[in-house]
Parts: sequence; C-alpha cells; structure tokens
Amino acid sequence: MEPDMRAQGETGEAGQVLVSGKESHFPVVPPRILLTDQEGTYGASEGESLNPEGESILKDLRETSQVRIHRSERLFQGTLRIGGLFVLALFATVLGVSIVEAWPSIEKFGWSFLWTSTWNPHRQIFGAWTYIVGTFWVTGIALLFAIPIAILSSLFLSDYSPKWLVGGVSTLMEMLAGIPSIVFGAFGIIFMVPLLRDHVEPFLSDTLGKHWDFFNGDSMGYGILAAGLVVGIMVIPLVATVTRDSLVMVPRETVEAAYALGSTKAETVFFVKLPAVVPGITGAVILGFGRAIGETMAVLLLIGNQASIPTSIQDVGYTISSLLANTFTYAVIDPLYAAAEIELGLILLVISLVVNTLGRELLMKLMGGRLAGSVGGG
Amino acid sequence: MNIVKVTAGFAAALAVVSVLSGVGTARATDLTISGSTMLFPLEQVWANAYMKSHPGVHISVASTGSGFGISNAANGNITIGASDAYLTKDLRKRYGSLASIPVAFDDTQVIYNIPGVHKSQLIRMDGPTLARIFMGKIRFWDDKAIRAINPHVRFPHRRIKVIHRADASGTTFVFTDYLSQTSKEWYEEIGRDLSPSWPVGSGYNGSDAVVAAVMATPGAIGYVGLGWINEYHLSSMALKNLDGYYVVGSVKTIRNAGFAALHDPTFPDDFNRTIVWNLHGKDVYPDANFEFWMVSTDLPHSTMKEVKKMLVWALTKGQQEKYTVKTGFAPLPFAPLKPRLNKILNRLLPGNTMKIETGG
Repeated sequence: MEPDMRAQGETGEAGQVLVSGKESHFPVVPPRILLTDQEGTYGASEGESLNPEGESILKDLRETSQVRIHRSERLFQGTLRIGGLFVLALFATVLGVSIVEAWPSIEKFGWSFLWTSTWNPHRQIFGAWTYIVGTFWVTGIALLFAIPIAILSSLFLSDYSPKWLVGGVSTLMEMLAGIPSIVFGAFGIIFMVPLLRDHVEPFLSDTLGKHWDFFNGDSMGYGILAAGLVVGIMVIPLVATVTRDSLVMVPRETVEAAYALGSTKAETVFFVKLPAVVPGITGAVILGFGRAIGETMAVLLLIGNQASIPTSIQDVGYTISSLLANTFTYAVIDPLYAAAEIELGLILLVISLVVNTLGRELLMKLMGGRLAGSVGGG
Repeated sequence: MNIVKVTAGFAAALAVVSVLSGVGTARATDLTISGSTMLFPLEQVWANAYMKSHPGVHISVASTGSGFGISNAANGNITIGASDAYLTKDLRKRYGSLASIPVAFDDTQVIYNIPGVHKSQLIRMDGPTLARIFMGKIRFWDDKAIRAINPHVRFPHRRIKVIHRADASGTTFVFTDYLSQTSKEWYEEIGRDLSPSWPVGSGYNGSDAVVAAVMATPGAIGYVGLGWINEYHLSSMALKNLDGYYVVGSVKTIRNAGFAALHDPTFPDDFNRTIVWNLHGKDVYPDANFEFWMVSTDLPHSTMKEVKKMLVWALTKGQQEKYTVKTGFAPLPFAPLKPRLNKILNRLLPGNTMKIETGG
C-alpha cells in the first residue's frame, strides 16, 4: 500500500499547491524530480515505481494543472506589468527624446540659455529669458485674479449659499473646468480684448498710470493682462473645487466648538474654518499654477506674441508654450533652432513637473490623502 | 534632428491619412501637397478641379507652413511641398534634391487703421520709413517722415501700433525682403526671414488674425497678401518702387512685376531670386513674389510622371482666373515663363521634353 499512500499524500499536496501556490508548507517535491523519477534515474525510487501507470497519470494531471495555473497567473501579471511599465516608459521616452533633441542647444548655450534674453534664429543666438518671464507674468496675473475669487466662491458655497444653489454652482464649476481652452481664447478675443482696450486700460492709464508707469501703456487690449485674466478664469474652477472639498472636511466638532464659544458665523468662517484649510488652498494654488503655466491656445490668441519683456501691465509678451505653438513647425528646418525650442519645452516640462509634484504631495500629506479624487488637475 | 524629422514625417503621414480616410474608392495615384498656408486655398480648388477631370488621381492638400513643406518634400514624406519663399542658398545646400517651380503670383501689402483718415485716401510709403515704423523708431502717425511723403494727408497725433505675424510665414518673408532691400538699418539689424525677431509690436497667428487685429486696433499698421485685401476690401498703402513710383498692389501691378523679372535676362532659370524691389517700370509693384511648389528630383519614376502631369495642368489650365484670382492670386504671365519652366520640368524628368502649350 505504500505507493497508494504516497499517491494520496501527493494528491493532498497538489491540492495545496492549487490553493496557495508557492506558500505551501508541505515538503513539496519539485516537479523536476518527479520527472526524473519517471525516467528511473534514481535507484532509491525504484521500489516506488511499482505502479508506474497510475502514478504517471497523477503526475500528468498535477503537472498540467500547475503549468496552466502558472501560465495564466504569469500572463495576467505580465499584462499588468506591461501597462505599468508602459506609463514609465512613456515618461522616460518623452524626457529622453526631449533631452537628446535639445542637446545641441544645451551643449552650445549651457546654463546661460536660461538668462539670455536674445532670441534670434537668424544669428543662431537663443535664450529663454524673455519667454520664461512672459510665462511667469501670465501665470502670476492669472493666479492673482483667480485665487481670491475661487476662495470667496468656495466659502460662499460651503457656508452661505442656499442649498438649491450649491448643486447648480458646483456642477457649473465642473463644466467650466471641462471647456476647451480655445473656447476661452475666442471668448477673450471677442469680449476681454475690446473691454480692456476701450475701458479698463484707458482707465488704468488715467488713474494709477499717472503715478506709476507700470500701469501705463498703449491700450491695445491684447497683452499679458488679457491673457492672464482669461487663464485666471480657467484656473478658478480648479482652485475653487479643491478649496471647497477641504472646507467640507473641516471637522464638525471644531466648528461647533467655535459657535459654543460665542463666535458669530462670520467669525467662525474667517477665524476657524479658513485657517484650517490653508494647506488645502496652498495645494490648490500650486495645482492652479501648474495648470496656468502650460496653457497654450488661449494665451497664444491673446498675449500679442511679442518677444519683449513686459514693463507694464498693458504690455504684450510671449510665453514658452505660445512660442512653441507658433514657430515649432518652422523651427524644424534648422537643427539648432529646433533644439532650442525643444529645450524651452524641456524647461516647461521640468517646471510643471516640479510644481505639480509639490502641490500633490502637499495636498496628500496635509489632507491625509482623502482628497486624492479631486487632485487630478487640468 | 532625426527624431524631429521622424515626428514631422509622422505628422505629415497623419495629415495624409486623415485626408485619405474620407475616401473609400480605389485609386491609381495619390499625391500629397502640403506646406504654405498662403497657397492652401488655391491648392484646394486646384485639387478639386484636377480630380474631377482626372479620375483615378487623388490629391490631398494640407496647410502646414512653408518650412514644413520644404523639409518634408525633401525627405519624401510628401509629394509636393508648397512654399512662399524660394530656396535660399542655405536651403539649397541643405536640400539639394529640391527643384522649385513657380505656380502662382502673390504679394504683400501694408494695411492700416488710422483714425480720422478716410479709407479712400491714398497713403504713400517708402521702404526706409516703413522699416523705421516697424523698428519702433517712428512712433506717431504725424511723424514728419510720414508727412513728408504724404503732404496731402492730415494725420492724427496717435501712437503707431505695429501688428505682425507670430507664426513663420511667407508673407513675412516677402515683407521683410522689401524692408531689407530698401532700408540699410533693417538689413543690418533684423534682416529677411519667415520669422524674424521683431523689435516692437504684437504678433498674431495667421493673416486673418492680422486683419482682425488691424481693424480692431486704432492706430495699427500691418501687412497681408493680396487675397486678404480682396476678401475684406481693405485699402493698402502705395509702396515706392525702384523707379520712384508709388504703386498699390493689385493683380495687374504684381503681374507687371512678374513680366519685368522674366524679361530680365539676368533672372536665374531656377527662380532662386526674389522679385521684390529690384525691378524697373512704372506700374511695377515692388513687393510681389512667386509662390512655389517644391518637388524632390528623387521621387520614384511613376510618381514623378503624375506630378509632372499635375504641374503642367496647374501651370496652364490652373492659371485661369476662376482659380487664381478668385483665391487671391495673380495668374503667372505665361509666355515669358515658358522656356524657364520647360527647363525645370526637364530637370525633374530628364529625357522627356514636356510640351506646355497654352497659358490661362
């Protein structure tokens, strides 16, 4: 009966393997040895192979099921791995290709590329300064415009607005975030530009402009102000949504404690709730920054695309992304020109990468990861 | 540079695929034309008319910019590259296989928006003054340099707002060519380019945007091609030509420029010279240019045959006013062009003399 016993034990083992694979604590005989056993290499196992037919059927069964499990398991794992690695590879490719293609420019200009303000394809001199400054101008104006409005609107929605309005306004906010930027660009041209040209900018020149040149100018309508305001409109929904989400998460106990201590509603909102969500707002602002800095189409239509460093709020300017959009198809006919433009793209990539990571990390850390859903960004 | 080329090629292929995918029938020949945004409307009407009269041939047209057209015609991604600019020395060195064939006439004209000056009032302009305006050295409309050329016009004391193209453009090339040839300052500081580094002003993407910006901005000055002048009924400035005449751009005056160039025995056979400024005559517009098709001489024999057929059609029947003038171009002056065109066409497909018979 020895062989039968053995066979039973082995069946049991096979069952274990079926369930938990490698984690089996039984002294499983590796299939390899069983195979060699079948060939009768070991003298010691001769006695066991008294009933070779039954044993081999069992072995076959075991092997096939094991192999099948292994295969499907591995296939599934492999598929998942491909998905995961693809994202990594994609990122590495984008970064790698950009660096390789930008290399002629990186090599020739070095770090001085960053603070050189001449951009002259004709003389083969390239410097990013003008475009970096323009990019930060637009982003700065956008954030200055967007942050107060976003915070006010989210405070209103979380504490003061009638219930029926909350749903409507939140939905509108989300829709606003989904509108393609070219639509905002067109809106800027037909609404914002004439408004700025005929009313806002002459007003600025006549009032603040009398004292500070910074507000004086030609009243073109087009320029960093128009571009910044429109990008600001695009950033509002992002900042407002994240801020509102963090306001909702302020513990009820905290708020009730404030009321219990005799605070008015305004005091509670301003001195208790608002400070509690400062980290959330900071994260939202950083994400908004990431959104604003890469905005292309709306900016291209409105900024006036002039490679000069703005000295006034009414000046025209140029951003990295709009320069690429305007001239990249032409730049490809000259290797150094193309390399310089790709290096500009690389700068933008690095800035938005750093900023987005920072914003995300901050939000995750301070809000305990509960905001993960709304930190998608644009 | 390689990956850039591949990417550009991929973009071209995508453009082509997206055009092709709309058509399901089997075709014998596919030609792809891509490049100059200026030439694009004309190419569209040509392609439609040609496909109607030549069943079996399919032409897809895309507007991607002259630079793209030149580089992709050279590496074979597209059959024909359309360009507003001729092949300069640099480009000829880089893309030795390309032959440029003039297919239409165009120009660049200066448009303006001066409050208080009526549209019907003719405004004259010469090269040096125009260059100084676009360099930001003349800042007001009532500057004495402008008044000196236009003693009959009362200009307001208003800031001049320079409007230029932001994208790389053949229109810009022709415009800066005029400035380079007439103004030493411009030539030394900025030069002629599809996308120069503009000292002042504001840039817009495409001629339509330039027209819109000039019309919307009081005090603006800008430049666009003949097609836009006709389409939007704009008035443009009369530019001073080599012989001192002030000429307004029109189909007639830019054709005169073509005649003048082609009758000039020193004009090169491969058209690698500008026809801006350096021409004599009373009614010769000083800022006209040929629009080109770039064809690589390395194309496979069978494709080349079709390309040549299409070329000959475009240069003869395609020059009719219903195609050219309607889309904003002037027809090529045919008779003086013929011997030179024959030479180019025979370079493309040697040993087979093409017979170009009649013009538009």
